[in-house]
Amino acid sequence: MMSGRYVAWGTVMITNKQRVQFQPAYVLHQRPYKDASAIVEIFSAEYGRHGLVANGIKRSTSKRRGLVQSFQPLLISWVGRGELGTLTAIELRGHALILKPQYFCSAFYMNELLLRLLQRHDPHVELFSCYDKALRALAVLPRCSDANWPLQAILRSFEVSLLQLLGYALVLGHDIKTNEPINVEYQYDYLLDHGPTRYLDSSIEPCGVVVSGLTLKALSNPKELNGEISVGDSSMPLVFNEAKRLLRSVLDAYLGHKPLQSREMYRKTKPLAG
Amino acid sequence: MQISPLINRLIEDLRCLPGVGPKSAQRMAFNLLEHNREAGKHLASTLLEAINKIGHCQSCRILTELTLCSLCNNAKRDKSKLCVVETPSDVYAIEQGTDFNGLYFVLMGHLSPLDGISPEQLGLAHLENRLKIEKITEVILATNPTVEGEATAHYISDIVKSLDIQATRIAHGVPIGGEIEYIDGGTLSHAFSGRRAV
Repeated sequence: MMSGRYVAWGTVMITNKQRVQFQPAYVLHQRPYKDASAIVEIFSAEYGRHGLVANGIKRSTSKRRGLVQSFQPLLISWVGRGELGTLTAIELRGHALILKPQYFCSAFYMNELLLRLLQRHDPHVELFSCYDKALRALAVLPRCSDANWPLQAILRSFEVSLLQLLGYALVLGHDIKTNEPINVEYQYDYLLDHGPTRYLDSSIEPCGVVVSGLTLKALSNPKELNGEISVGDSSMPLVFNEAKRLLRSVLDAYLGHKPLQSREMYRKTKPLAG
Repeated sequence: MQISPLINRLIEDLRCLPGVGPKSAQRMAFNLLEHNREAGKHLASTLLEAINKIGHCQSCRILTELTLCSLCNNAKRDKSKLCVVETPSDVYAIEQGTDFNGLYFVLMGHLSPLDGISPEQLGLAHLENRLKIEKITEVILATNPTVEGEATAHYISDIVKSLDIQATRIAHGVPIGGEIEYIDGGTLSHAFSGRRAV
C-alpha cells in the first residue's frame, strides 16, 4: 500500500508517497476547489480521516460526479504525500444507500461529530464499522414513524461507541465512589470526566448530569438501547431523554465552545417536521 | 517581468474570472490592447454598470437591475406554479431547456449544516411569505440531486405542505442518450426507486 522511494541527487532524499487502492470509505464533506474540483474529506477504514483533492469532479462530463457524495459506501483510491492526497479512483461499494430526506440531519450530525473529533490520518477501523452500521440502520428506517426512538437509539449507540473508541469511554457499569454495580432503581449524578455517583438528596444541586440507573444500564448495552431487549415502553421516553442529555453534555466538553451546526439545523427544522 | 505594471495589473485582475489562468489572462489582455480596444472600453463600462446596478429581484431573488425581474413581471407566465432552484444559472438552464412557464424562486445556495448555511440565509422566510400571499398551487423543487440539495428540498417541502400546497420534486436518474452500463450505482438506484408506470 505504501511505497518509499530513494532519489539520489548528491544527497539522499526520501519520498514517502502513499498509494492507496480501493479503500472502503465514506465522504464526510466536500467543498469547492478551483473551478471544477473539490476538496473532499473522507473517512476510510484503515486510514481514518483524510483530505483529498478530487480534480474535475464538478465538470458535467465527470463520471465521478455522482459518486462523490456523502452517506454512500465507497471504495476510494488515492495517491498522496503530506496533508492532502489526490483522488484517483472511486467506486460504489455494494449497493447505494438511499436515506430518506428526514434523516439527512441526523446523518449530517454524525459526519460533523467525526469531522470535529477525529484527527486526520488516525486509523479507526472499529469506528468506521460503527459509522457504517449506523448509516445502514438509518437507511432502513421507515419514511413515516410515530416513534422517533429507533432513530435516537442509532444516534446514541453511535455516540457511545465514538466516545469509547476515541478513548473517552463513559463509565456505565459502577458507582465511582462505592464501586457497586449500577442499580436500575437509583438516580445517579454523572460527573463529566469521572462517572456516576448515587444521587441521594434531590434538594442538593447536582455536580454533573442527573440520570437514572435504567438509562446508564441501557447505554451500557447496545442491544437494550436498540430495543432488542425491551426496557419497557413507559420508560423509553425517559431513558432516551436522559441519554441524550448526558451524551450531549459529555460530547460538548470535547467539542469545545463552537456549537454543532447540524444540531442547530435540527433545532430549526424540527418544529416543521413535527 | 515588470515591462508594464499596468498590463501586469490587468492580467492579474482578469484572473478573477473562473477558468482563467495566467496564460489565458495574458492572451485576453493583449488581445484587448492590440486588436480590440473599443470592445475593451465597452466591456469595462458594461461591467461597471452591471456591478453598480444589478441586485436581486424582490420577488424571486434572481439577479436583475429591475425591482421585479422580467420573468416575475410577465403577465403571460403561469403564476400558480413556482419552481425553486439553487442558483440564477439554474433558471437560465430551465428557461433554455424546458417549456416551464411558471415563476421561480432562487435560493442562492443550499442548506449545508457543515458549512453553517442555515434556512435564514436562503431567504426561506421570504419564500413562505410568497406562498401565503400569492395563489400558488404547485411548488416544483428543482434543487440539485446532491445530499445538500435533497435536504433543502425536504425542508422546503415541509413548509409547502404545511400551507396545503402541492410540492413536487424533479425526477433524477438515467440521462437521455446515456447507457445504463456506464451509469454509476447511486444514480441507477435513484432511477429505480423513482420508476413510474408507463
